[in-house]
This record gives sequence, structure tokens and C-alpha cells, in this order.
Amino acid sequence: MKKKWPFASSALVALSLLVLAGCGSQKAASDTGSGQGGSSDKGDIVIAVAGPMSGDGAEYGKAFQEGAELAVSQFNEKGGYEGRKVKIVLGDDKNDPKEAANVAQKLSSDESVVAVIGHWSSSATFAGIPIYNRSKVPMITPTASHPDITKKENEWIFRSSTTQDLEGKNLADYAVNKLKHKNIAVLYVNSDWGKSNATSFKKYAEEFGANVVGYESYPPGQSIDYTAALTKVKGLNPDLIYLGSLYNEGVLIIKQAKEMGIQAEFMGASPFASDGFLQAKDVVEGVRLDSLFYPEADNERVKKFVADFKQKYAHDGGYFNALAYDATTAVLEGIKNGGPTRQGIRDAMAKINGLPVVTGEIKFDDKRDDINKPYYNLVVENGKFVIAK
Amino acid sequence: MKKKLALALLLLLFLLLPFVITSSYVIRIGVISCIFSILALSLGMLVGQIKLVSAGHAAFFGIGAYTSALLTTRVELPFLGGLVSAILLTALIGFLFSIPILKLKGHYLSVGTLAFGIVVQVIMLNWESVTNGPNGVPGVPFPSLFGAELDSDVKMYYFVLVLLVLVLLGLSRLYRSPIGRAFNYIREDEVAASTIGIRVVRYKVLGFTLSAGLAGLAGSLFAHYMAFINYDTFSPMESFMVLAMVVVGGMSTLMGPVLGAFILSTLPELLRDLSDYRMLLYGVILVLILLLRPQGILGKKAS
Repeated sequence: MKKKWPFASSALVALSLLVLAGCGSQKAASDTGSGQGGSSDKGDIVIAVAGPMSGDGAEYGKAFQEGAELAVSQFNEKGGYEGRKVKIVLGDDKNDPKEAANVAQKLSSDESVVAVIGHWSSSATFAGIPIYNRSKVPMITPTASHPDITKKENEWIFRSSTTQDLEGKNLADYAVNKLKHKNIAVLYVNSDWGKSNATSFKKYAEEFGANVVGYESYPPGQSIDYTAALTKVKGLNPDLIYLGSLYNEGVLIIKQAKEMGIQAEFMGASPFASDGFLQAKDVVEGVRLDSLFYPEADNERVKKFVADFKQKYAHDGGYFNALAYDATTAVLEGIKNGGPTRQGIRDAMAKINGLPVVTGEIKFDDKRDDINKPYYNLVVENGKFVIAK
Repeated sequence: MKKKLALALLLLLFLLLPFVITSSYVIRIGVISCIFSILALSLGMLVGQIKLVSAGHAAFFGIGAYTSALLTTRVELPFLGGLVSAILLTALIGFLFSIPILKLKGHYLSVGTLAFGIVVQVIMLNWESVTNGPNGVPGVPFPSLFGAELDSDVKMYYFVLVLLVLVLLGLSRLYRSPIGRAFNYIREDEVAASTIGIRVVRYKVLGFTLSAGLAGLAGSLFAHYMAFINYDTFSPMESFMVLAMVVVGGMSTLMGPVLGAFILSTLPELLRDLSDYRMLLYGVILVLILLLRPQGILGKKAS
């Protein structure tokens, strides 16, 4: 007698879980009523923001959310789409490809979601792409920079940022042609982003005639001691150390390098263009970087964005805020011109050619890739980013 | 008899599920649960049957996933070729690894397997010419059987469900065979087992090899279903996750790991909308289950 219960109860547990999950998603789908791959004629238009909302990259997810919400609130204040407001739902991928795939499926299964802005990292985006493409949901990534993210055959996938190839070329040009550095050491984080970032910088630096004397990586994650790699670099005596790092690692590396007496100049990539980086004050003085977004730029759209952002969130908008804002602007443009359906948004977005945004103008090529944003070459001076002369 | 009936009913319910629920999100959770059930079963064989607590099982899962993904994307092997190669290669690596590691006992063995898990993950990350390093392997093709591509969640669901049932049937036969009994003797008392003539090391190696091969099968299915893999997924964290599935479900039973896998794959999705509190609640629920049923949900009271 006693033995039967475990199975009966297990059956019950498993079933109730599944039924619950079923009800959950069914309810989500019926929230706004479902039409042909879009929402009903009234009620809010739902777009999703997907990225790391918790876990290691939570600050980037938050940056996405802020940028997207600013764009949406401005769109709604102007009357929305034929009087209907746009609403944002969040998808938390914890920056983990497995989670990202689940999020992608969840958002795609929800008929009311008409477009997705995300994901943050290339690996999370790679995990989502097949699902969005199969489910015919327009997805635009503001930040994933791996060259293979956009493909001609992935019709539903857009990117409104840049690629590692373009950024590497710009940084190499900045380091070799403008700053006249000859011996460069490269130190990068061994992640999907760090690797393609460093590879492309190295390629172009060598093309422009510099010697890449050192090429070292360190493991991703929460390490705090970079002295091993730095000791190696110090012995090479480079005149520039290029860091393919996120800003928090970058600050630590620069600090430790200076403590070890390394005299070289430092250069990083666009992730350094954040408030958090500047908070390291003296440590980051003189560090060079590039960014698609420069808050002090002499440009009306940038000025407006900076002011609006500050007013809404009481802190300065950064690089990722601006990119998310721009990607959302592209989606909203798609809604405006193509109507609030998945197909309509996709087709209207693919036609975008010269939409003015904060980080330049969005022009999609035949791979729906946006490849013509201008870089600002920056340097930290007196605790602020200024355009390098 | 009643037990059999309950299981048959349960299977029927799972077979009918896609007709009741059309949301591909729910079906997806079903697929992931089945894949992880196979993985948890493979670890259950070690932990529950032989009492070898492995804390690096995600390594075998990952080796299977990478083998299958790389062979189908680079050498253009068909899916079945990738699947079989994944099982064989993972089993071989399990076999080779088991010979030195089984010299260790108890906690030392667990630490050794944990180290193995870390080493394998570092290799995935750094052996770039083979594994494509941190960028992982995108574009893994969908499974195809004899020319029919399993290109939808529902087709995939039936495929993994059938495989799960086959694995369960195989394991239930195995556990009742002389080999299974030998496993259990070793579990209860190694010294006594060897005095009655059971070759302890030989059986442990066999268990390790079978378990690794089964984990390789799960890995291959995972790679082809996700279409993208990278080193992230095969972390020590994942190893503990699988261990938790086995423990929560009830380690010494056949169905325990399956139940654990279903609960631990479904729970995070049910809690998804609670974003910030999600993992907190998840942890609380886990602790509660283990407090209320230390032997696992299906586990028998310790004798």
C-alpha cells in the first residue's frame, strides 16, 4: 500500500506544474486578446526588452530598460500609435544562453508581443535568434556585436549598433595612426565579446603597421587579480596597453598596472564609456577609448537625449542607455509605418534608411545590419570624457 | 500493478499534452525537462545506485553537446551520426577518467569530479581551434530522422519523450539485472560486496562509463534543440543543478531523478515573472523540499 503513493503524488505534482505553466502562458497570451500575430485593435501594444535583468550583467539589463522606457514614454506622450499606448514587458536572460532561449520562446509564444529589443551579449542573442526567426518575431539587438549575428537568411533579426570589426578598425586607427603607438600589448577578457574585440583590434593594428608585442587573455567572471597577466605585459615594455574589457574589470586592471609601475598608455573600447568608469577618478585619468555615444557632443539629438534622460532618471545616460533608446526608436518607427503587427513592424523596419537617432542615423543594409555610425575618439581628462584632439 | 497503471496513465498524459496545450513555450519546457531527465537519470545511476557522488556531471553533458554540435556543423555528419558519436566519445572519456578517479573514496571522489568539471569547462573555453572558444557553436542543425527534420517543438517533444521512455525501460531492466544488484551491494557495503566476490572496481568503472554515455546522449539532444551552445552552460553550477535534481526527486529510485528534473526545470519558469525574487524563492522551495523529505520526494525511508 505504502509504495503506491509516491508515484501517484509525483504524477500529481508533475501534472499540476505543467497545468500551472500552461495556464500562466495562456493567460499571458490572452491578456490583450490575440489577433494574427499581433494585438487586438484596442489596448496597449506590447514590446519586450530582453537582457540580463538579474545576475552578473544586471546593470546592463537595467540600462536597456531605462533607454527603452524613455523612448516609449516619449512616443506615448506624442499620442502613441493611433491613440494606443506602447507598453514594455521585460525578459530576464541572466546573460545565459540557456535562459535566453527560454525567454525568447516565452516572448514568441505570447501573441501580444510584437517586437523584441535584445539581447545584450552575442551568446545570448545567438541562442535567441533561431527561435525569433522560426516564430517570426522581429528582434533588434542594440549591443550584440559578433559579425555573424545578422545573416541575410535571418529575416527577422536586426541590429542597430555596430560590429566588432568596425570598432576594432576605428580603435586601431586611433592608436596607431593618430596616437603613433608602435608597440602595443593587448589584454582581453576571454568571453565572446572580448575575444572578437581583441582579434579585430589586433588585425587592424598590424595592418596599420604597429607591432602587437603581447596578446594575453584572462578568464571571464569575478576575478580580481590581474597581476599575472600584467607581469607578462610589463616585461614586454609596450607603449600602449589595449584592454578588451568591460569597465569594471578595466578599472581594476589599470589600477593594478599603475601600482606595478607600468608606464604605458591605456586604451579600451566602448564599454568604458560609462559613469561607473569615471567614478574611479585618478585611476582612469588619461585612458583612451571610443564610443558611439558622447554626451557632450555638439549635436541637437544628443543634447536632447542627455537632458531628457537626466530629467527622467536623475542620473546621466550612458552608452548602453543610448543604444537601447535608439534600437527602441527603430521599433517604434516600425510600428508607426507598418502597424502594430509582427509582420508590419518587420517590413517597415527593413525599409528604414536614414532614421536620425542619438548615435547617428540608422540605415539597414541587406542583412538588416546598421553599419554606419560614427565613432567618437575620447580620452579621460580631469575626470570627464573629452574628444581626443 | 497499480504502480504500472499509474505510470502508464502518466505517460498517456504526457503524450496528449501537445493536444491540450498549444503554447510552444510550455512544450519547450517539456522538451528541456525530458532532456534534463535523461541527464539526471545518468547521474542517478552513479549517486543513487552505486553511491558515487559526482559533482562534475555537466562535463559529460558538455562533451556530448560539443561532440555532436561540432561533428554536425563542421564535418556535416547527419544528426544520428552526431548522436551516436556523442554517446560513444563521452562514454570513452568517462571510462578513461573513471580509472584514476575511482582510486578515491567519498568526499575525495566528489572533489576530484568537481575538478574534472572545471577542467573540462576551461578546455571548452580555451581550446579555440576545436571548440571556437568563448563564441560557442552557433547554427547546430535540428535533429533529422531518416530525412524528416524535427523542426518544431512538438516533434522534438515526442522525440525526446520516446527516448526518455526507452532510457527508463533500459535502466529499469539494468537495475533489476545482476549488474544492478551488484551496484546495490557496492552501495550498501563495499567491503562485504568484495568478500562475496563482486569485483567492485570493475562495476564502478562500468557504472561510470554507462552514466557518461547517457549524459552524452542528453548533451547531444540539448545541443541540437538549442541550436547554439557555449561553455557557459556546462559550468559547475549546472553540475550541482543536476545533483539537486537527483537528490530532490529521490536518488535511490528509478523515477526520482525524472521528477527532480521536471520540478527543477519547470520551477524557474513558473517563477519567471517574479524577476528579482525568482532565484530566492527557488532556493527556499528547494530547502523546504529537502527539509520535509530528506530522502527526496520519491525516496524511501532510510532502512
